[in-house]
Amino acid sequence: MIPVRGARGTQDSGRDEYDGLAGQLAALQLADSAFPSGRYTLSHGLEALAQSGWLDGPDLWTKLLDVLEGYLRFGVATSDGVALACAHRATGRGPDVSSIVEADRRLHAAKLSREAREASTRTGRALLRTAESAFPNPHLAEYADRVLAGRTPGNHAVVLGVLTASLSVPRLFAVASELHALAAGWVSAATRLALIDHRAAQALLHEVHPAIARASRDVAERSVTEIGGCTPHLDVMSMQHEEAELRLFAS
Amino acid sequence: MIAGVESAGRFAPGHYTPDNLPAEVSAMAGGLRCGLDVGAAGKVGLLELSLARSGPATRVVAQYQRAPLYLYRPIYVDPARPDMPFVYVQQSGDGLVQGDRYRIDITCASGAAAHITTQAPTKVFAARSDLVTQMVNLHAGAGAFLEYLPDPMIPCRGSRLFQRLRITAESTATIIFGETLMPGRVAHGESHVYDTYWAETAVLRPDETLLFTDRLRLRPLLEGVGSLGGYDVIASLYLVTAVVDPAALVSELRARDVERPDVMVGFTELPNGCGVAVRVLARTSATARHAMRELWNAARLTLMGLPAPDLRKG
Repeated sequence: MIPVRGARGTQDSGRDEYDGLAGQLAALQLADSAFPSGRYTLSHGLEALAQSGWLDGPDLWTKLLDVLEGYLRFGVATSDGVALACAHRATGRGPDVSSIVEADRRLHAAKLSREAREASTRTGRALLRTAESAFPNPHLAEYADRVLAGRTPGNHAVVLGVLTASLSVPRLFAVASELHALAAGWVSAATRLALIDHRAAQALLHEVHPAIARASRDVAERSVTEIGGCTPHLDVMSMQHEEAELRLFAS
Repeated sequence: MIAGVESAGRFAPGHYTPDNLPAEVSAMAGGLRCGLDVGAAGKVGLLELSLARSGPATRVVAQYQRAPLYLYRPIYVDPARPDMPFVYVQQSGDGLVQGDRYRIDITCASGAAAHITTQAPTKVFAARSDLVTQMVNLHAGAGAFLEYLPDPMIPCRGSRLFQRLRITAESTATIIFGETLMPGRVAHGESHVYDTYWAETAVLRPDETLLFTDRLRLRPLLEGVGSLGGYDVIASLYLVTAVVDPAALVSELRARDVERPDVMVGFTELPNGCGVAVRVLARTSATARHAMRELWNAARLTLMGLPAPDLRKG
């Protein structure tokens, strides 16, 4: 196997500062809303929340902030964030495909609603296809084969964990940038649902950055058995969205 | 299970304490500074129950219990399923107290059918030190029908609970189970003022393949209860079955469901095609319990063509 430059390089950016910078640029590329993984089709329960009338009335800003922050802290960080960190750790070591698959299956088993699972695996496979041509690297190949053979789900967070580790993105930064990318998609969905304008959306995104930083630190070292979220209200929203007749988004 | 546990093994802390505790939870398990310490008599409740088909009905074939957990002779209350014992697990105190450790192991053998419930809601009292842990291990054999529907949990102000429910199911077993979390003692004005309520659920095949996992992890004093969306009561009902296709089961349950004021219900297919989950959010305890009763009834009608019986509780 060809050693990939800086494949283990998570904390040792001092060894070659350009390695570290290249890794951060890769993270920016992967978090870009123009990256073709199909995430612009997701509202993460926001569309159903708007349809349910829960956002009606005063204090829309506060409600949106609470929902987004709760989703990131109790939903995404502790499930997708931990799975990403586990996949990243397992890749840095070698890659250890059975540990990557374990994180993938665990994350799948922890996504209670069908819609959430489908959103995660559809975007995960799209990311994998782009990665195979845009960032060819030997660390991804074996896991990618298992995803394509249907032997492991191929969740977006797990694909991203493998990919960021092999591109020398430090683990903590990989988790934080994924949470940021999800939050950016979420506020973008809020504008397309005509809940807020573009300026308010950017203000909202900025407002949740401290929560993203705290949550990323909290989950970056957690282990595979800790994968799981607790967002009962958004779970019900996601389940009701599955049966909605009129909808703009796939989640 | 029952034959395999030596009496000394039952009293080893590793037997009645969940392993792999999350760091936040193990940080709480520091023992008690006064009174009966963790592991003392009266502080470790054990219940082991083996149910198997015997002639036309399912019977208890082995049982071990240690106070404060106990149970009375099962009763056969379902006129449509006279073969099915209804087992009421009881706790001899007013509720669960700091330093308590509980472990329940119930096996429903191949072809057997049983319903496990409690006599009344379970209160968890305030903890000044340590916490309460409860392990519930259920095993459903080939073709077994098992229901596990305990009454709601009521976490009081300042209480700490860690619970791990682990269900092992053969692929042909059918299991209906669920849980309800009240906001506290409503009459005392308590609404999510406990310290920690952490309940993990995992359903596995006998070869340890994980089918799905779910958890309620609420630490309102530290983290708020934003994830409840302002609702007071949360309940979940899970149907693990291969009898009806999950997509068809979701459609059927949705079709049977009715609009209820102050209650939100969502239905979805569980991971790995193993069944259906129903999530309920409600504004009051009464509406939550009523919804759960109706959903249980709908689940039974869909899976067996039989209604839910009256459980003869208060």
